[in-house]
Amino acid sequence: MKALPLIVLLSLCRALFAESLIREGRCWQENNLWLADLRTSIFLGQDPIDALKSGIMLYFNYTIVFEPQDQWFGDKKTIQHELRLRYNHITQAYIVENPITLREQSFPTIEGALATIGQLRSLPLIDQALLSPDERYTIAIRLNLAEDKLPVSLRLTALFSSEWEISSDWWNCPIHL
Amino acid sequence: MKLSIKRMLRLVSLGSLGIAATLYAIYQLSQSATRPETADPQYIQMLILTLIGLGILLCTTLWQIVSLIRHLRQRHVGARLSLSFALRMLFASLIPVSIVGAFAWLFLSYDLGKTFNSRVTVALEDALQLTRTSITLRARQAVDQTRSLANIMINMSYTDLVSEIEPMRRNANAIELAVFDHQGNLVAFTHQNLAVMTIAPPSTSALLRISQEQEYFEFATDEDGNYIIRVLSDINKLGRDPYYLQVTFAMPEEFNSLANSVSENYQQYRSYSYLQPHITTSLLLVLGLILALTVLTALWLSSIFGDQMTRPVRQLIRATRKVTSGDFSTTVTDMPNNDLGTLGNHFNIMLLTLRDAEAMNNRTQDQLTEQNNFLGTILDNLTSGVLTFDWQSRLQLANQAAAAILSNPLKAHIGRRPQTEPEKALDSFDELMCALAEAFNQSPGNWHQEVTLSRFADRKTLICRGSRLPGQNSRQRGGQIIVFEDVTEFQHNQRNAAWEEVARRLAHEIKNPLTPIRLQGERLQRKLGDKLSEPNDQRILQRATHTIISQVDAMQQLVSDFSQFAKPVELRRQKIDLNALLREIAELYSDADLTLDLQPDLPIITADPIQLRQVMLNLTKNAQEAGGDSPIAIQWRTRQAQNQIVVSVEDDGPGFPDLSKDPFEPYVTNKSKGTGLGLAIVKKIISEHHGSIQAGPSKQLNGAKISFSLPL
Repeated sequence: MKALPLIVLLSLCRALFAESLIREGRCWQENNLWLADLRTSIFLGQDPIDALKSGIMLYFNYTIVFEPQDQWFGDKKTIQHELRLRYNHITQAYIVENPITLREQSFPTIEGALATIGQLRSLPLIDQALLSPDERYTIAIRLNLAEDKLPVSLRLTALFSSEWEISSDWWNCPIHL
Repeated sequence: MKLSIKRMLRLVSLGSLGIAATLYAIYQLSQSATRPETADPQYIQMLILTLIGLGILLCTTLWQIVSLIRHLRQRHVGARLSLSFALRMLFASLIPVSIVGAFAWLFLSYDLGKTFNSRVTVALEDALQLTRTSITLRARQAVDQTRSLANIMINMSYTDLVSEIEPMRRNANAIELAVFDHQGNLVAFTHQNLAVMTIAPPSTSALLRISQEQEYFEFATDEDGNYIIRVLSDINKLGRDPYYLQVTFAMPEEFNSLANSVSENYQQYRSYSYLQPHITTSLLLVLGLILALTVLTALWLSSIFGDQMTRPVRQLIRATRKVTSGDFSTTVTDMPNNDLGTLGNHFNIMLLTLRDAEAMNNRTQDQLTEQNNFLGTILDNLTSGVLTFDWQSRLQLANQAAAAILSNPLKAHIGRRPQTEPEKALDSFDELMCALAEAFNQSPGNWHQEVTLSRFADRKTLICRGSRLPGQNSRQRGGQIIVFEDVTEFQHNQRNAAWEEVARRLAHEIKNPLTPIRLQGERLQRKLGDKLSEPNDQRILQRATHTIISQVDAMQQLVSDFSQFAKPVELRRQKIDLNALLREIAELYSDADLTLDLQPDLPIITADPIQLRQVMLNLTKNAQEAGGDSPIAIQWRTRQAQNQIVVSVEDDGPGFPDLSKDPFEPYVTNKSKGTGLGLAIVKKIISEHHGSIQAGPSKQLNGAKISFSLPL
């Protein structure tokens, strides 16, 4: 209970220093599969860029929540979509990795790499069969930098530095089955 | 005591919980800090747990400290000792902790990388640069190859291109060959992997650069992580929109291996260089948390131990306080099995000894009190006055009889040395001690002396006896005791009895011959007066017979006075208003300077008014005669005092010149004429009324004062 004020304070800091912005998005159903397009602008401060160019991998995480509108009794589902960003010192390029498809994309500029990370096209979200037909859902998506996957020695700096508070607001898309 | 133990258990439990939580969390943090490049999802949780643990420990310690300060303010027994003990323990633990902490901080802050890694940095940078240079050389070859292929394709038709593109790829040893039109649409392609069905078009920036420089290459990795060189060149069909040739070359397998090794090492090195200050910060944080835990634990344990270790001492202090206040019943219990326990046992033995001594002392005190009471009772019931003095001649004790005889409560003289100079005497005690000064100060043994007091109170004759008391100080010097008795009345009665006997004999022996002598004198005067012819003879006879007759008359008067003095007074008592009687008698002295000061509402007394009239006449006459020819102011006063009425007659005459002689004794007079029996008769009448009479100086009129008291 004594840590509650600290947690609230940290959450407040995150909201105040959000460094990402979801510009536009769309969700739709196709072949009993819910898909989403999303375009997010990601702004990296100098500290994260320095860390990246020093060989530290950054983990960007899309948190996708299927939230029943009746929040008290509904079954909330959450899935994660992760993308990794690293720097290759030999090619001097930024590489975006998808750990699911193992596909790597190389970009000579950080902006290109961030644009790719922020661009989701026809991302399969969930099979409609997994959702209760009697419920009305809202798909909420948020992109953030996964601080818990930073090296331990960076966690303390990231905790108190706004440059590491990279998180977008929630983007909501109500869906009707 | 039970409450204290419960409170202590709560404090110990809370503090232990705080220490355990903090230790666990700090251990986890330190484990994470030793693997600085790895991720630890629990890091923040461990950090929060550490802060919570430290918070619990801090609250527990503050609680203990506040409790100690409250005990100090309330002046609890042993609070200062507990604080002193806790502070010493705290300092004893903090000093080494501070030293270790300071040096640990210094070592952790030291940047080892600056010293050891400079050459490694140069080597890694050189290796990286070497790799890039070799890539650039390979890329130049690839560009030349691509240009050649593009030149070949300039004159090819689409059909030739489709059929020749695969042989061209094999000849060029390329991974893929692809031709795009100016809009980026794929025209033809070939890939060493037949499963590849499409190829991503060149990026916009690549197309832009090729339009400016005619050739472009990039170094990248393929999806398998192998290094590739992708070259883009335009196929310039004269007069038509350009086509673009994209050729991808693979780097040799050996190169990939070496490049990966260089890249991996360089990346690790750069990561470490970048993270090093953060690692130091993390380690310093852990060190700071450890120091905070150590300091708080030392503070907490100091307060706990300070409280616990001084408990036996506090118990001893409480018991000692009770002993100093006279309570010997509280023994110390639950003492530890160490030197303090031995001290507690000795204390309990001492208490038993003191208890026995107190009981014996009480018995002795009781005996002394009984003896004192007994002695006090004796002294208070003695008719003799008793005065005791210590070895410094200070008055220690005076019994009631002494105060009564000296008409002085004597309280003001207790503890003081008596006056020895008569002119400085202020009361009857001083007068007595001045009279006894020589015997008191110089007599080595027993002594006795008769003293007559008259200066400050009624005239009294005292028989005093003095004795030395046993030694009271280290030099065996003792005090003195003076016992005195008032013998005034006794002496007066003795002398009065003697005088009455003399008066009776005089009256009897002289009275009888006086009448014949007077008759013979008258006969001589009558028979011979006419027979003597010579006038001279007649005159001589006349004078001789007159002398005989007058002297006989005087002797008859004297005999009458003696007779009155000698015979017992017969009182005819009746109830009288004394004030009224005095006013009636005062009318006889209308010509004299007589004032009355009579207390109104005097009670009625039973007395002989004729005898009292005689008393007042004698006293007034005595006062008038004391002044000789000078007029004398006289005052009569009545006052009620307890169970008697006091009547005094005062004058402004010369007073009594020598009160060492009893003025109420017959023949004690200062007047040229008179028998000296007036005051003796007055005293006899007053004595018959069971009253008392005293003579002394008049403080109001500065003359003589005679006062008598009559019982109610």
